[in-house]
Parts: sequence; structure tokens; C-alpha cells
Amino acid sequence: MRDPLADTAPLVGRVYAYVAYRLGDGPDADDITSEVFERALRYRESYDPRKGDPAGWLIGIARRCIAGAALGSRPLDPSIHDVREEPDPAAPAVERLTVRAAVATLEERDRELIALRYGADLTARQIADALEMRTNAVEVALHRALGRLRDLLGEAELESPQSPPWTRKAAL
Amino acid sequence: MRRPWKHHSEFSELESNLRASRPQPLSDLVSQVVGRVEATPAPFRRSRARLVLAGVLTTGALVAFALVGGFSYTASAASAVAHATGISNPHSNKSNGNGNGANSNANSNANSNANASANQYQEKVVICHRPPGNESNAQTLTLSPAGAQNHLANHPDDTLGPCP
Repeated sequence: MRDPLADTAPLVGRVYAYVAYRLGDGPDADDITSEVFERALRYRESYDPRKGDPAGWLIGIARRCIAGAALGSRPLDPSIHDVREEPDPAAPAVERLTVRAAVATLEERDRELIALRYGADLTARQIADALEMRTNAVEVALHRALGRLRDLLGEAELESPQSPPWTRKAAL
Repeated sequence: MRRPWKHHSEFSELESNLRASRPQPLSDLVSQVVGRVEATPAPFRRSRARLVLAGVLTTGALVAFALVGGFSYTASAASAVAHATGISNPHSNKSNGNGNGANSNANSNANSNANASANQYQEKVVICHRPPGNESNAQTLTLSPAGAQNHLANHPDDTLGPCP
């Protein structure tokens, strides 16, 4: 049977990205990520590769950790999305900050979908399994969430003349 | 029918930026978690292949055991030992009442062994062969059914079963 924690480092990145998109960067995301892997170690033997890959399994644990900590439903403060690292030096930090801040203002359901798709990097099918939805419904919901995110970024652009390029379409 | 959610091109730039903006964990957190995981050895897992192999070997052993008549042979051997030691029928020596108890035991052993063979191969017949003109030199023989039939047909003094 396959060990779900055989290649841990990339999984930490995906779990953290999901949690941080849900809760914002910071100590809460660190704590939840650590808790996820503690639980994963505890329940390592219960992992069944037939039910999905390790990332999907860990994200399921992360969702329960967030729900257990009652952190997922609270409104996020967009200002907590600080930029702590520079993974891509070519992308300006201010743009990343704007995107994360816009995600933080989305409704919880949209934020969850964005976090699963672009944080945890799950496929629509994996998201459908996690949320007990149909794959098609996930695609539609994601499409709408992206539309709302673009609208938010468009509003941000109108308030700030130096807007990131991806909001140009919404601003037109 | 147009499915706009299937055409993500209108959001491709936004999607790229969402991926580029993905929050990254601090390297301390990564090394802490990786260290914790590496410090905990993966538990022993019962491999499905091992279970299948064990099942196949067990089945093979049982089939082989059954094919060579292991169970009946073991039972017959146990019965023979019981007869020889007098465990199963301690009064058998008294049955003759004329001092031939030991002889009777020997015949019983021969019979038991013949039975064990017969049980194992199912193709043997035990007869008592009395050579013509020398009937006193009787011999217990274990033969194929055809051989036994031949003996019985050609030697009128031969009888089925071991010699007394």
C-alpha cells in the first residue's frame, strides 16, 4: 500500500496554500497546516489510494481542521494577506497582495472553491468529490466565482489607477 | 450549446495570477513538518501481495496433502499405532484365548498397513496367497485388483484378506 506522506514537501505547499487562501497567511494557517500533518501521521494507515491521491486526502483533513477550529466561516480581513515570500520574483508583490485580498473578500463558498482549485491545485473532479457535488456543478460554480473575483478586482482598479493587468477587461 | 464554464480563456490571466499568488509556506514550517514526518517511520503494512502469496501457498499445500491421501494415511497410521500399542482395544490379546494373541496383533498390523495403503491409493487388494503344494507357507500380498483376481482364479486356496 502506498504511503501518502512519502513526498511531504510539495504536499505541505499545497495544504498551506489551500489553508492560507481560506484563512489568510499567518500563524493560523501555520497552525492548521501543522495540525493537518499531525492528523495525517495519526491516521496514515487509513489512507486508501483507491479513493484519491494524497493531496485530496490531506485537503479533506484540512477542511475538517478548519471546520473544527471554526475559522472557515469568519469574515477575513484582507489586510492579513501579507506577502511573506517571493516565490516568483517576476511577479510584483503588490499584485499578489491585491489578488489575495480580493479572494479574502469573496463569500465563503467562492473562497473555498478558489482555495481548492488554485491553492490546493485540485482538479474539478477532485473538488466535486471533496464537496460532494457533480463535476459539472463545480465547473459552473468556479466560473461564477472567478467572475465575481474579476469584478472585485475591477472595482479595486477603479479605486487605484495602477491596477494589475488582469483586471483590464473588467474595467473596460 | 455553449458552456461558458468550459471556456476558461476569459479567465486565463486571472487564473495564472491566482496560481502565481498562491500563498507559500515559510521554509521553517516546511522543514518542521517534513522533519516530523521523517521522524515517524511508516507503519508496517500488510501487503496485499503477501496475503495473496500466503493464501496461494496454503491452498497449494492443502491440495497436495489431499492428493496424496494425507488425511486417511495419517488416520490409518494412528490406528495402526493404536492397535500395536493396544490402546484402542486392550482386550484383543484375549480374543484367541490360546496364546496366539501376538500373532493376531501382527496380522492386525499387516492389515492396518494394507488398509493405509489401500486408503491412500484406492487401487490395492490384500489377499492371502497359499502356494499350491505348499499351503502352509501362506503369504499376505497386496495386489492390484486385476492381480488379485488372477490369483484368486488360478489358486483355489488363495483367499481375500490377509493371512490369519
